[in-house]
Amino acid sequence: MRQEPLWSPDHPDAALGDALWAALTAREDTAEFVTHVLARAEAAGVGTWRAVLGRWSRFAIAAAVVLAFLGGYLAGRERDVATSFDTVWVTSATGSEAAAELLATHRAPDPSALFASMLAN
Amino acid sequence: MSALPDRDRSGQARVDEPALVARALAGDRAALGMLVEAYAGSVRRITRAILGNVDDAEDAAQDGVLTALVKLDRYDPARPFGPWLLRIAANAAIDRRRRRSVRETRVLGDDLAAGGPLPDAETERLALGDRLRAALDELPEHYRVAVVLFDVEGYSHAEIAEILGVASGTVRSAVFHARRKLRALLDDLKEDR
Repeated sequence: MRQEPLWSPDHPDAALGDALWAALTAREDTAEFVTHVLARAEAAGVGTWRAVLGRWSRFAIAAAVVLAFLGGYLAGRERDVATSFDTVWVTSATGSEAAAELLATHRAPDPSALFASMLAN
Repeated sequence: MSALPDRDRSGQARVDEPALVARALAGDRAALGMLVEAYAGSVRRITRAILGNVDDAEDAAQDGVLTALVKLDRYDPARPFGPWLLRIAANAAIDRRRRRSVRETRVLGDDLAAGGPLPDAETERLALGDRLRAALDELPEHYRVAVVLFDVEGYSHAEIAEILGVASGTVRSAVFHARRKLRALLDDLKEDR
Protein backbone atom coordinates (compact mmCIF):
# COMPACT_ATOMS: atom_id res chain seq x y z
CA MET A 1 0.00 0.00 0.00
CA ARG A 2 1.81 3.11 -1.21
CA GLN A 3 -0.43 6.08 -0.67
CA GLU A 4 2.22 8.79 -0.63
CA PRO A 5 1.94 11.15 -3.58
CA LEU A 6 4.41 10.62 -6.36
CA TRP A 7 7.34 12.97 -5.92
CA SER A 8 7.69 15.96 -8.14
CA PRO A 9 10.55 15.60 -10.59
CA ASP A 10 11.32 19.30 -10.10
CA HIS A 11 11.63 19.29 -6.31
CA PRO A 12 13.80 17.31 -3.92
CA ASP A 13 12.15 14.33 -2.24
CA ALA A 14 12.61 15.28 1.41
CA ALA A 15 12.05 11.79 2.88
CA LEU A 16 14.44 10.11 0.47
CA GLY A 17 16.89 12.98 0.82
CA ASP A 18 16.94 12.65 4.62
CA ALA A 19 17.40 8.87 4.42
CA LEU A 20 20.25 9.19 1.93
CA TRP A 21 21.83 11.98 3.97
CA ALA A 22 21.84 9.73 7.04
CA ALA A 23 23.20 6.80 5.05
CA LEU A 24 25.99 8.77 3.38
CA THR A 25 27.09 11.34 5.93
CA ALA A 26 30.45 10.39 7.34
CA ARG A 27 30.60 9.66 11.04
CA GLU A 28 34.17 10.86 11.06
CA ASP A 29 34.94 14.33 12.31
CA THR A 30 34.72 17.14 9.74
CA ALA A 31 37.45 19.09 11.55
CA GLU A 32 39.81 16.15 11.12
CA PHE A 33 39.01 15.98 7.41
CA VAL A 34 39.65 19.72 7.03
CA THR A 35 42.93 19.44 8.95
CA HIS A 36 44.13 16.58 6.72
CA VAL A 37 43.22 18.39 3.52
CA LEU A 38 44.85 21.64 4.63
CA ALA A 39 48.02 19.81 5.66
CA ARG A 40 48.21 18.15 2.23
CA ALA A 41 47.43 21.47 0.56
CA GLU A 42 50.24 23.16 2.44
CA ALA A 43 52.63 20.37 1.46
CA ALA A 44 51.55 20.94 -2.15
CA GLY A 45 52.30 24.66 -1.78
CA VAL A 46 48.67 25.86 -1.93
CA GLY A 47 48.17 29.28 -0.34
CA THR A 48 51.84 29.68 0.58
CA TRP A 49 53.68 32.94 -0.09
CA ARG A 50 55.66 31.17 -2.82
CA ALA A 51 52.46 30.20 -4.65
CA VAL A 52 51.08 33.73 -4.29
CA LEU A 53 54.38 35.21 -5.46
CA GLY A 54 54.55 32.76 -8.35
CA ARG A 55 51.09 33.74 -9.51
CA TRP A 56 51.93 37.45 -9.28
CA SER A 57 55.23 36.81 -11.09
CA ARG A 58 53.30 35.34 -14.00
CA PHE A 59 51.08 38.43 -14.11
CA ALA A 60 54.14 40.70 -13.83
CA ILE A 61 55.97 38.96 -16.68
CA ALA A 62 52.88 39.13 -18.91
CA ALA A 63 52.40 42.82 -18.07
CA ALA A 64 56.10 43.56 -18.75
CA VAL A 65 55.90 41.91 -22.17
CA VAL A 66 52.79 43.91 -23.08
CA LEU A 67 54.41 47.14 -21.84
CA ALA A 68 57.59 46.42 -23.80
CA PHE A 69 55.62 45.98 -27.02
CA LEU A 70 53.56 49.08 -26.32
CA GLY A 71 56.68 51.11 -25.48
CA GLY A 72 58.42 49.97 -28.64
CA TYR A 73 55.41 50.88 -30.75
CA LEU A 74 55.09 54.34 -29.19
CA ALA A 75 58.83 55.04 -29.49
CA GLY A 76 58.71 54.12 -33.19
CA ARG A 77 55.80 56.48 -33.76
CA GLU A 78 57.59 59.29 -31.90
CA ARG A 79 60.71 58.86 -34.05
CA ASP A 80 58.65 59.06 -37.24
CA VAL A 81 57.01 62.28 -36.03
CA ALA A 82 60.42 63.73 -35.01
CA THR A 83 61.88 62.90 -38.42
CA SER A 84 59.17 64.70 -40.30
CA PHE A 85 59.50 67.71 -37.97
CA ASP A 86 63.31 67.77 -38.58
CA THR A 87 62.75 67.61 -42.31
CA VAL A 88 60.40 70.57 -42.24
CA TRP A 89 62.74 72.57 -40.00
CA VAL A 90 65.88 71.96 -42.13
CA THR A 91 63.96 72.68 -45.33
CA SER A 92 62.68 75.98 -43.99
CA ALA A 93 66.09 76.97 -42.59
CA THR A 94 68.17 76.14 -45.68
CA GLY A 95 65.55 76.42 -48.36
CA SER A 96 66.81 73.12 -49.75
CA GLU A 97 64.86 69.88 -49.71
CA ALA A 98 68.04 68.03 -50.63
CA ALA A 99 69.73 69.34 -47.48
CA ALA A 100 66.75 68.26 -45.40
CA GLU A 101 66.92 64.82 -46.96
CA LEU A 102 70.62 64.67 -46.12
CA LEU A 103 70.47 65.98 -42.55
CA ALA A 104 67.17 64.74 -41.25
CA THR A 105 67.30 61.14 -42.44
CA HIS A 106 68.37 58.28 -40.16
CA ARG A 107 69.59 56.27 -43.12
CA ALA A 108 73.04 56.50 -44.73
CA PRO A 109 73.09 59.41 -47.22
CA ASP A 110 72.06 58.59 -50.75
CA PRO A 111 74.94 59.61 -53.13
CA SER A 112 72.50 61.33 -55.50
CA ALA A 113 71.18 63.47 -52.60
CA LEU A 114 74.78 64.28 -51.64
CA PHE A 115 75.61 65.43 -55.18
CA ALA A 116 72.37 67.38 -55.43
CA SER A 117 73.21 69.16 -52.21
CA MET A 118 76.72 70.01 -53.45
CA LEU A 119 75.38 71.27 -56.78
CA ALA A 120 72.76 73.39 -55.02
CA ASN A 121 75.48 75.11 -53.02
CA MET B 1 18.08 17.95 12.06
CA SER B 2 18.88 19.76 8.87
CA ALA B 3 19.47 17.42 5.99
CA LEU B 4 21.60 20.03 4.32
CA PRO B 5 24.29 21.42 6.56
CA ASP B 6 26.13 23.15 3.73
CA ARG B 7 23.31 24.43 1.56
CA ASP B 8 19.63 25.12 2.01
CA ARG B 9 16.96 23.42 -0.08
CA SER B 10 16.95 26.27 -2.58
CA GLY B 11 20.54 25.44 -3.38
CA GLN B 12 21.91 28.70 -2.01
CA ALA B 13 25.38 28.50 -0.58
CA ARG B 14 25.72 30.16 2.82
CA VAL B 15 29.15 31.64 2.31
CA ASP B 16 30.39 34.33 -0.07
CA GLU B 17 32.37 31.93 -2.21
CA PRO B 18 34.10 34.27 -4.69
CA ALA B 19 35.34 36.44 -1.80
CA LEU B 20 36.60 33.37 0.07
CA VAL B 21 38.34 32.08 -3.04
CA ALA B 22 39.99 35.48 -3.60
CA ARG B 23 41.21 35.51 0.01
CA ALA B 24 42.44 31.93 -0.26
CA LEU B 25 44.34 32.77 -3.44
CA ALA B 26 45.94 35.70 -1.64
CA GLY B 27 47.32 33.26 0.93
CA ASP B 28 44.62 33.50 3.63
CA ARG B 29 44.65 30.03 5.20
CA ALA B 30 41.54 30.70 7.28
CA ALA B 31 39.59 31.33 4.06
CA LEU B 32 40.99 28.10 2.62
CA GLY B 33 39.80 26.25 5.72
CA MET B 34 36.34 27.80 5.51
CA LEU B 35 35.98 26.74 1.88
CA VAL B 36 36.99 23.17 2.67
CA GLU B 37 34.75 23.02 5.73
CA ALA B 38 31.73 24.42 3.87
CA TYR B 39 31.86 21.65 1.26
CA ALA B 40 33.39 18.78 3.25
CA GLY B 41 29.99 17.17 3.88
CA SER B 42 28.78 17.35 0.28
CA VAL B 43 32.09 16.13 -1.12
CA ARG B 44 32.23 13.18 1.26
CA ARG B 45 28.63 12.15 0.56
CA ILE B 46 29.21 12.25 -3.20
CA THR B 47 32.42 10.22 -3.04
CA ARG B 48 30.71 7.79 -0.70
CA ALA B 49 27.75 7.43 -3.08
CA ILE B 50 30.15 6.71 -5.92
CA LEU B 51 32.56 4.41 -4.12
CA GLY B 52 30.53 2.76 -1.36
CA ASN B 53 33.61 1.90 0.65
CA VAL B 54 34.11 4.47 3.42
CA ASP B 55 37.92 4.46 3.41
CA ASP B 56 38.12 4.78 -0.37
CA ALA B 57 35.50 7.52 -0.29
CA GLU B 58 37.43 9.44 2.35
CA ASP B 59 40.64 9.22 0.34
CA ALA B 60 38.83 10.27 -2.85
CA ALA B 61 37.20 13.20 -1.04
CA GLN B 62 40.58 14.41 0.18
CA ASP B 63 42.14 13.92 -3.26
CA GLY B 64 39.28 15.76 -4.94
CA VAL B 65 39.36 18.75 -2.60
CA LEU B 66 43.15 18.92 -2.82
CA THR B 67 43.03 18.88 -6.63
CA ALA B 68 40.49 21.70 -6.55
CA LEU B 69 42.66 23.76 -4.19
CA VAL B 70 45.70 23.29 -6.39
CA LYS B 71 43.63 24.49 -9.39
CA LEU B 72 41.88 27.24 -7.44
CA ASP B 73 43.27 30.01 -9.66
CA ARG B 74 41.40 28.43 -12.59
CA TYR B 75 38.01 28.75 -10.85
CA ASP B 76 35.74 31.33 -12.53
CA PRO B 77 34.27 33.50 -9.73
CA ALA B 78 31.32 34.39 -11.97
CA ARG B 79 30.08 30.81 -11.60
CA PRO B 80 28.98 28.94 -8.46
CA PHE B 81 31.81 27.27 -6.58
CA GLY B 82 29.91 24.13 -5.49
CA PRO B 83 29.35 22.51 -8.88
CA TRP B 84 32.96 23.27 -9.86
CA LEU B 85 34.31 21.60 -6.72
CA LEU B 86 31.88 18.67 -6.78
CA ARG B 87 32.71 17.94 -10.41
CA ILE B 88 36.40 17.62 -9.50
CA ALA B 89 35.59 15.51 -6.43
CA ALA B 90 33.21 13.25 -8.37
CA ASN B 91 35.86 12.74 -11.04
CA ALA B 92 38.40 11.82 -8.36
CA ALA B 93 35.98 9.22 -6.99
CA ILE B 94 35.11 7.86 -10.43
CA ASP B 95 38.83 7.51 -11.28
CA ARG B 96 39.43 5.69 -8.02
CA ARG B 97 36.46 3.39 -8.65
CA ARG B 98 37.78 2.52 -12.09
CA ARG B 99 41.23 1.78 -10.73
CA ARG B 100 39.66 -0.30 -7.96
CA SER B 101 37.53 -2.26 -10.49
CA VAL B 102 40.63 -3.16 -12.45
CA ARG B 103 42.39 -4.17 -9.21
CA GLU B 104 39.43 -6.23 -7.98
CA THR B 105 38.98 -7.95 -11.33
CA ARG B 106 42.62 -8.94 -11.23
CA VAL B 107 42.43 -10.15 -7.62
CA LEU B 108 39.19 -12.08 -8.24
CA GLY B 109 40.70 -13.66 -11.31
CA ASP B 110 43.72 -14.72 -9.29
CA ASP B 111 41.46 -16.18 -6.56
CA LEU B 112 39.46 -18.15 -9.09
CA ALA B 113 42.57 -19.45 -10.70
CA ALA B 114 43.88 -20.47 -7.30
CA GLY B 115 40.53 -21.93 -6.19
CA GLY B 116 40.26 -19.35 -3.38
CA PRO B 117 37.05 -18.50 -1.47
CA LEU B 118 34.38 -16.37 -3.16
CA PRO B 119 33.09 -13.31 -1.27
CA ASP B 120 29.85 -14.01 0.59
CA ALA B 121 27.49 -11.09 -0.06
CA GLU B 122 24.45 -12.56 1.72
CA THR B 123 25.78 -13.03 5.23
CA GLU B 124 24.48 -10.10 7.20
CA ARG B 125 21.19 -8.39 7.72
CA LEU B 126 21.48 -4.82 6.65
CA ALA B 127 20.22 -1.78 8.52
CA LEU B 128 18.47 0.99 6.59
CA GLY B 129 21.68 2.86 5.86
CA ASP B 130 23.40 -0.28 4.69
CA ARG B 131 20.41 -1.25 2.53
CA LEU B 132 20.28 2.18 0.98
CA ARG B 133 24.00 2.20 0.28
CA ALA B 134 23.74 -1.27 -1.20
CA ALA B 135 20.81 -0.17 -3.37
CA LEU B 136 22.72 2.90 -4.43
CA ASP B 137 25.67 0.75 -5.35
CA GLU B 138 23.51 -1.19 -7.78
CA LEU B 139 22.52 1.92 -9.66
CA PRO B 140 24.50 3.23 -12.62
CA GLU B 141 27.11 5.74 -11.52
CA HIS B 142 25.41 8.86 -12.89
CA TYR B 143 22.04 7.81 -11.36
CA ARG B 144 23.72 7.66 -7.95
CA VAL B 145 25.42 11.01 -8.24
CA ALA B 146 22.33 12.65 -9.75
CA VAL B 147 19.92 11.50 -7.03
CA VAL B 148 22.29 12.45 -4.20
CA LEU B 149 23.03 15.88 -5.69
CA PHE B 150 19.31 16.53 -6.30
CA ASP B 151 17.59 15.07 -3.25
CA VAL B 152 20.35 15.43 -0.65
CA GLU B 153 22.45 18.40 -1.72
CA GLY B 154 19.65 20.43 -3.34
CA TYR B 155 21.29 21.18 -6.69
CA SER B 156 19.13 21.86 -9.74
CA HIS B 157 19.00 19.61 -12.81
CA ALA B 158 21.02 22.21 -14.74
CA GLU B 159 23.74 22.38 -12.08
CA ILE B 160 23.95 18.59 -11.89
CA ALA B 161 24.15 18.45 -15.68
CA GLU B 162 27.15 20.77 -15.46
CA ILE B 163 28.78 18.66 -12.76
CA LEU B 164 28.28 15.40 -14.66
CA GLY B 165 28.88 16.86 -18.12
CA VAL B 166 25.58 15.50 -19.47
CA ALA B 167 22.30 17.00 -20.73
CA SER B 168 19.75 18.30 -18.25
CA GLY B 169 17.18 15.80 -19.55
CA THR B 170 19.58 12.95 -18.81
CA VAL B 171 19.83 14.15 -15.20
CA ARG B 172 16.06 14.36 -14.85
CA SER B 173 15.70 10.82 -16.16
CA ALA B 174 18.52 9.55 -13.91
CA VAL B 175 16.92 11.11 -10.83
CA PHE B 176 13.56 9.60 -11.76
CA HIS B 177 14.88 6.06 -12.16
CA ALA B 178 17.11 6.23 -9.10
CA ARG B 179 14.25 7.54 -6.98
CA ARG B 180 11.90 4.84 -8.15
CA LYS B 181 14.29 2.13 -7.06
CA LEU B 182 15.31 3.74 -3.77
CA ARG B 183 11.74 4.76 -2.91
CA ALA B 184 10.55 1.19 -3.43
CA LEU B 185 13.19 0.04 -0.97
CA LEU B 186 12.15 2.63 1.60
CA ASP B 187 8.48 1.73 1.23
CA ASP B 188 9.23 -1.99 1.59
CA LEU B 189 11.11 -1.29 4.78
CA LYS B 190 8.20 0.76 6.09
CA GLU B 191 5.76 -2.08 5.37
CA ASP B 192 8.05 -4.60 7.05
CA ARG B 193 7.88 -2.63 10.32
